[in-house]
Amino acid sequence: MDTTQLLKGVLDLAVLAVLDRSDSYGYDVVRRLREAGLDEVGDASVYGTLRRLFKAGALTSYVVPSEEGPHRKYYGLNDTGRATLARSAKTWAAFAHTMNDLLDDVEKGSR
Amino acid sequence: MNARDEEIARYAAGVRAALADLPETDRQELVEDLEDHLAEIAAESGEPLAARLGPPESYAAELRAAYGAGSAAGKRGRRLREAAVAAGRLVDDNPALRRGWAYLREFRPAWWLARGYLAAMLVWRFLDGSWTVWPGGLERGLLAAVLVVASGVVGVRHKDRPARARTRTVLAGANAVAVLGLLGLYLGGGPSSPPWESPAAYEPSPSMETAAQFGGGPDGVLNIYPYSKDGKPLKDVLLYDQRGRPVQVPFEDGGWVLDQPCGSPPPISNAYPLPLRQLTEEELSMQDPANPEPTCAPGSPAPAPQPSGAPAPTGDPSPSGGPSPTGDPTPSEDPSPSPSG
Repeated sequence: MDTTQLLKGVLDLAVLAVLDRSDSYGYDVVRRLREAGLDEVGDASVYGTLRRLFKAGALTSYVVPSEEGPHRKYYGLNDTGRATLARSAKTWAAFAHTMNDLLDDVEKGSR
Repeated sequence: MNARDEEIARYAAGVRAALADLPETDRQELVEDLEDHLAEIAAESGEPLAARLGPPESYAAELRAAYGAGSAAGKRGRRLREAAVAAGRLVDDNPALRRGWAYLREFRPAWWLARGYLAAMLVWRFLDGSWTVWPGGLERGLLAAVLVVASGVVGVRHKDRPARARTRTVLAGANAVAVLGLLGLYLGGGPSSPPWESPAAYEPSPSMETAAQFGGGPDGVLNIYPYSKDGKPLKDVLLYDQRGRPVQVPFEDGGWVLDQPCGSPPPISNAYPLPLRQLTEEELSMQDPANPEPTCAPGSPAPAPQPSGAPAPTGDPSPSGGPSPTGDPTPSEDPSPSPSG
């Protein structure tokens, strides 16, 4: 199955989850998502998602100047973001549970 | 500025250009630190940005989709754009649609030319107050040529390079005007010349050589052969014009007469196809061409032709007509459209 299609639906959740661990900037969020196993995550998708979540009021942001290399715009969860994350995580857990049940039957049948 | 910085600047400029139609606030918010972000990616490896991220346009499209672009442009604009994005995604996700769309795009040059011509027609429309398809004059022809070429040039220029936001709006507007012009044509004329006010006879237009015409002399319409849409010939189809007048064709122009077997009522003058037969040499020589005399026995009282109010057949009843099949004038070119399917 095409992972990018699946990713479209859960990218918000994935980005919120990454930021919940620690504040981060765009490039770093992409890197951490890929390290976590979401190899196919698109750079622009993450960048755009961060901007949208920020605009929607789920994130705080601050610029960290750096002496060598570019300035970095860090993002972190605010209360709205954390509430969104909790809600979305619950939805995801239920959804994943349902899917696992479905697929469990499929696996038993094929054995 | 080293080569890497230049590459980053160029890539960022490409992305910005592709987002040019977004409201300024959205665009700024979306790409304010794009260069810094790209620099991080560039620092990761020596690979060119376009190789890692794809072309700037697709990067911009992904950015736009993830951002849910267009939120500040008012509800209608946003809905339109969302619909466009959704349609784009639908096309992207469906291989058949994608192929179809790619195929349609091959016809863009034809549309550019048609668009220019439609614009010219729109100008003529305002000059005349009615729609005309043909220039009818050197200046008008030149105007059409200029507009067609201009439209083509604009099309070619923006084929691969997205236009700036304002230009794009203007282009979209021009396209919409052209489409509306087409619709106007299709609906049969502008408000100043509704079809029900136009004269009953078709105006012969000298440049239209492919369509059959009324009043075109021997080459014009002398009879009408109606066919059903599945290709079956229809008989006795009564035709009327927009004022309810029976449609009559000047079949005398081709040397035809209405064929009436003696003793039968005269044929209905607007029931198509008309039973016509060619005048014989003798009849031709005997007859005053302006006023062909009745050739059938005058004993049979001619009932009023249906429908009531229909003018009498222009060709008078004629005698000695054989049974209609033999006299039936079938044009040498087969008028039957090949049945579809």
